[in-house]
Amino acid sequence: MSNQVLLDKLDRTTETLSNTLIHLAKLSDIEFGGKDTEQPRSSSGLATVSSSGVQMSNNYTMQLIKGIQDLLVITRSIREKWVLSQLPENEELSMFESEETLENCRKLVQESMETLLNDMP
Amino acid sequence: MSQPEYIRERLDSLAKIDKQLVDVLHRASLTVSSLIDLKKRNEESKPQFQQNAQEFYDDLESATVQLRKEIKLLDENVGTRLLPIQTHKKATGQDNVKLEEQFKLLTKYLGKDQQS
Repeated sequence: MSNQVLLDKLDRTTETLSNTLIHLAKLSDIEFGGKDTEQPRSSSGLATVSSSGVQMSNNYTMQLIKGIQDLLVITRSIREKWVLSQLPENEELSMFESEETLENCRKLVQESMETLLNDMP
Repeated sequence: MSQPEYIRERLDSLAKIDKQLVDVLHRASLTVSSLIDLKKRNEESKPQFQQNAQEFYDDLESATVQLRKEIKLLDENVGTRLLPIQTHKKATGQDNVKLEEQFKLLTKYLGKDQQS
């Protein structure tokens, strides 16, 4: 996943998570009938409200867990990038990392340029 | 496997974020249960509900801010500490090998016994 994709996913998931708790809180109003509902509901009506309420609260709870899971996937993806794509810090010295060999290379290039210039008609 | 210090710091920070995320879920569960208490006409649960809801949002904010920082750090380190593209680790010395080969050829053509 690219970093922009990770950021977009983070934004979306955060928004979903913060809204989900609000929805769950609002649902509790349906499930408990609200404080100002004084008259008793019919048993079938109550059952319908109750079953759809339970279903909705299940959906939101699922959304909440799924959201956290998505964020954990993001941290895992970042962790994998750090561990698997890291550049080694203590690499074996190549010939271009020593001043001496670099100087030799510089001399060689200089000499070759001079030879080329001398060979030109 | 031992990691360089900077990478170890990043991994620790990510582990902390994971813990915070789990706390967010736990806090959500506490918020809902205190809300249920509150709906059962138990007014004593109100401050508890408020505190749990507050902590849910605080934890969520803190975790997401940290996560955003980690993504930014990942972006900043591409090319210095991280490979800019997904390649096999063994392929990273490819350029140097080729360059060494070219300089050996140059030495040969110039007819010098150059030490590498």
